Amino acid sequence: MNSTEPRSISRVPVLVLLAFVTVAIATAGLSQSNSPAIADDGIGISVTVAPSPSSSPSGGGSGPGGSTSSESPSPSPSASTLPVSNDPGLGGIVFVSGLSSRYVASPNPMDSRVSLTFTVRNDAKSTINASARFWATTAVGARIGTERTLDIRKLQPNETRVIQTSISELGQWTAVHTHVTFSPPSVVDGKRLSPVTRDSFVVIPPLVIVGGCAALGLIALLGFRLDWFARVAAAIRGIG
Amino acid sequence: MTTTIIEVVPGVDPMSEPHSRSTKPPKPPKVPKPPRRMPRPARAPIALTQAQFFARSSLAVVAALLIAFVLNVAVLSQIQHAVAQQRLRDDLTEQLAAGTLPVSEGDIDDHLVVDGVPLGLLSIPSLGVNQVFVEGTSGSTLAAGPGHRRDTVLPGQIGTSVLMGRAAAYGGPLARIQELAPGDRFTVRTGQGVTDFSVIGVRYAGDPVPSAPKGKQSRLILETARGAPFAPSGVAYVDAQATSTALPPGTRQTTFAALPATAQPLASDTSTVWALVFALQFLIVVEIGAVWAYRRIGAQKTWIVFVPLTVLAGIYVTNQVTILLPNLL
Repeated sequence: MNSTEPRSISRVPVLVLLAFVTVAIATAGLSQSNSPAIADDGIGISVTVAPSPSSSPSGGGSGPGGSTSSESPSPSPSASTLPVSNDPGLGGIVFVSGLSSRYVASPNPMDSRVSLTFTVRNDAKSTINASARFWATTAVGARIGTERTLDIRKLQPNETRVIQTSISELGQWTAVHTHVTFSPPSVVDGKRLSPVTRDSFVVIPPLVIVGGCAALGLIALLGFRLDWFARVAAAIRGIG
Repeated sequence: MTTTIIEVVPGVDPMSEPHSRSTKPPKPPKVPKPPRRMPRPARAPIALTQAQFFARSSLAVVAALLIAFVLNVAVLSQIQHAVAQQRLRDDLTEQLAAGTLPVSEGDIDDHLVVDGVPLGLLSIPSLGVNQVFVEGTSGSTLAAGPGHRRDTVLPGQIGTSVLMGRAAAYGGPLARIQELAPGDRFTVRTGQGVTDFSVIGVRYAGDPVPSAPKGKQSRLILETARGAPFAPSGVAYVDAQATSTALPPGTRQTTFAALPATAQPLASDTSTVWALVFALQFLIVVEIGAVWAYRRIGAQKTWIVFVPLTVLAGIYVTNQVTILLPNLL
């Protein structure tokens, strides 16, 4: 037996181990260099909060644990952190909910139906008339089903109205995106408004595919058992 | 007088009819039916080259990892979230009872509150949401529950607060917040008490934000991913206004400029890539060990020992991959 063979084999795990450790150390260094402000606990800095007269944990009567202050209100994150567009949208005087979609079972699986619910609130000082257009698309954006447009008439100030409708003829598209575009008047209380769209996602059970697979499985099962059935029938005839 | 002698044979009823069974002829042996089809000739063993064998094994491992990833996201992450919420609820209850729940960015010992520390309870009865929220909004932090963006005040305090939560994985605690309609009510409990909120409306990115809260008002923004589950198309915002008295704000050390990129909506947290590397190494070592044991020890013992190890390594790897997904997913 060659004396050098076991030695070469024993080197393999050592080399593999060294390679793993090297890669791990390099990756750890890389991940740390990418996010220098992140420590293992998820916080980049370990700052001790400097005690202040208004931030005593036990003082202030503002609640236990930690510190509170009566400083001026924190600036709204909306101004600096949330995306803002030039689109006037609903101008802060008309508010809407998201779109809720719910599959409604139908006796005809090819005529799948989805119930859609949407809420709108008028915080303006004047009554408004608006419209809501509902439609659906597939996962790749193709239009499917019927399209519905509902008029929202005489929405009074401080009134909240629930708009509900349904879209049919959605076939067996399993992943369906539903949408609503709410179109307010172009000007309300002197403010310009523009339409906004809300989306939702609903799953339509693929009954045809599932049923077809179940039928094929049943046929296959019967095919396997056909010989057994024939023998049972022969036995019954023999008894008779 | 006639005497009848009956011979008693063990196992035979002496009163039965003699030779009653011998009248039927013995059944002929069954003749096996001829097969419907001629049996197929045995396949010749396929001899794979080393490259083909390596490719097949690699594809099998990748396929197993993909299945494990789907199982992890769809099933295991939900369980992990439920367990984390139970632990957080215990901590929250304990700290509420002791009066030590943080109400600022510092804890009772004046140390910075670390990510993952429970801060309060978000209750939205109309959606069945009852979640303990924690400090921080990175991907790994939001696996436990909704997270508070640390540069904003706590919910209920004067100013605007932001809570972010996942929409699908890890329980998807805020998956249905788009169903909230203007005027819907919910509550948030913190160390300062319970604050009632009324929903203003739902916004998408690009929509104009409501006017900033005036005076001593408290505003809360809930954020989550929108679109199909596990395929987000953007962020949905729910604005809510406090209807009860706003509370004094706690001191915040972190500003928006100092907020890590991993804490932003739909951001990925790559700070744990090193753990993924170690997990992959563990998986490779297990695979090598399984191959070695299969050749040296045998299939049965290898199966018993290495299947649990392989499953463990697969869970470890896919868990680390799941954490790398966007934080609102």
